[in-house]
Amino acid sequence: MTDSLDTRKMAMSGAEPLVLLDGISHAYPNGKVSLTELSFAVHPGEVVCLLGPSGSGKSTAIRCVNMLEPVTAGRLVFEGIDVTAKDVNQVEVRKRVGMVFQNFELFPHMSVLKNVAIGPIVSLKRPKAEAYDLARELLAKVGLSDKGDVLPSQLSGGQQQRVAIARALAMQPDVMLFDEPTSALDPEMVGEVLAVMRKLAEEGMTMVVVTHEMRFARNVADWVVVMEDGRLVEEGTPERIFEQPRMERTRAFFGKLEEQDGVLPTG
Amino acid sequence: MFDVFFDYRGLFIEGLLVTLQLNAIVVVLSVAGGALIGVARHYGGKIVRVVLGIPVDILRSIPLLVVLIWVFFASPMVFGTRYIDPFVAAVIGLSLTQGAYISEIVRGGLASVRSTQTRAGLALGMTRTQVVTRVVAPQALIRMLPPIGSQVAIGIKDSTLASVIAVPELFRQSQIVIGDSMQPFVVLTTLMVFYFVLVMIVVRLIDMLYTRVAARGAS
Repeated sequence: MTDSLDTRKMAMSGAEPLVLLDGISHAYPNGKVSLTELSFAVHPGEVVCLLGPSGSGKSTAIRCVNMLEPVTAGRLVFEGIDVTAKDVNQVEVRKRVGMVFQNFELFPHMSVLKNVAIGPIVSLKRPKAEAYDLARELLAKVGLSDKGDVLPSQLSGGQQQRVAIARALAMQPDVMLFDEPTSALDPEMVGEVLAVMRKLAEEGMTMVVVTHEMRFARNVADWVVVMEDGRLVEEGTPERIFEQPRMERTRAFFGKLEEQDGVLPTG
Repeated sequence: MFDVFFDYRGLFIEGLLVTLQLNAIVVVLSVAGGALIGVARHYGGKIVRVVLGIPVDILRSIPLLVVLIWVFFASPMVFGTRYIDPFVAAVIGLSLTQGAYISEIVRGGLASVRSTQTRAGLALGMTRTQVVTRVVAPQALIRMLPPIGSQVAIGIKDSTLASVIAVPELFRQSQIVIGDSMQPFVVLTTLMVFYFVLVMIVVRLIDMLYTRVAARGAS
């Protein structure tokens, strides 16, 4: 029983991990340790959700993946290359990794369309016309084709986050990182953002998602990683983690969520 | 009653031209210099920030009147000459002081763009330089407009202090006319109106520019 629940489809296919965190540690400049020997893998086409209480290092962990935070020990392997090696060009790696932030971080001085086109124009040196065509296409994909000419500040939070997803997709990344993409949203706007993310997952995009949306993790994730105090508590398929959590700390975390939000999603 | 302006038109016209010229040069030099120092202090690391902070703090602490008099009477000794042209001395004194204040405005403007915007730029595969020129600087520039406008207005008003080192600017020329014509009321009142109009034009122009772009600086 447990075996079938623990089957990791993508890993079974024998594919190399797209992203591999191999015992990485991280400390902030003030000396506060945020990650301790964290290891997990992300395979191509997989959706991996990072769960855990706030302050457990989930966000730091995904910021390490595109090197917005420097790892202090361990290896970070991206597409088979150890990117913690000194001679690796971080900018080149970041071009292949999309990121969506908790507070959207759209550029307020640019139109929505330019926000989406700016990555390809500046980083990839694509011709402007081509970049704007792609941007229009992606805005349509996130359901905002009529908003290209307005400024980000004229959009709702949910719309801004969908633009931010389109902006990251414009780089045509190999993997998308989501850092609590719905935590700053009003409850009625969470659904529209999760719907876009679900669509991406269905299209086979590789995704690493830090989230407190347990229903999303339960239904969309292929693999769930539970963290606490900068360490991995346990990992497994969502079915296994949610139905048969092995670690007391996972049960305690779910128990707290249950107190707040009622019942855990079961399927 | 306004005959005095016709009778002394030569002095007034010279004063007007010198005032406008002085301020135009000071605005260009102080904004350029202030921007350079502000950017260097924000991005240059700790040593640059502290070292460049010393002249900035000194200039912000000394009364402009003292700076002007020092540049005119004392600085020639430092450079081994005996004389410095009053207009040049006024340009140096005013630009240094204005530049010090503007450098702080530039530094504050850059610091006000939150660091997560830099992260967003980096995450899109931009280089550090691209993040500064494409993401941080445009937003900072918008936020700097109102305080730079105020500082330029202060500079225009303070340029009258150049009269004490005999720069033939408008206030100095007016004093000469008053001494000769014995008509202080009409001359000084007109002078006030003139400065009011000049400063308002500058301030309103910058305000109008800011209103047009303000929405783009909000974040």
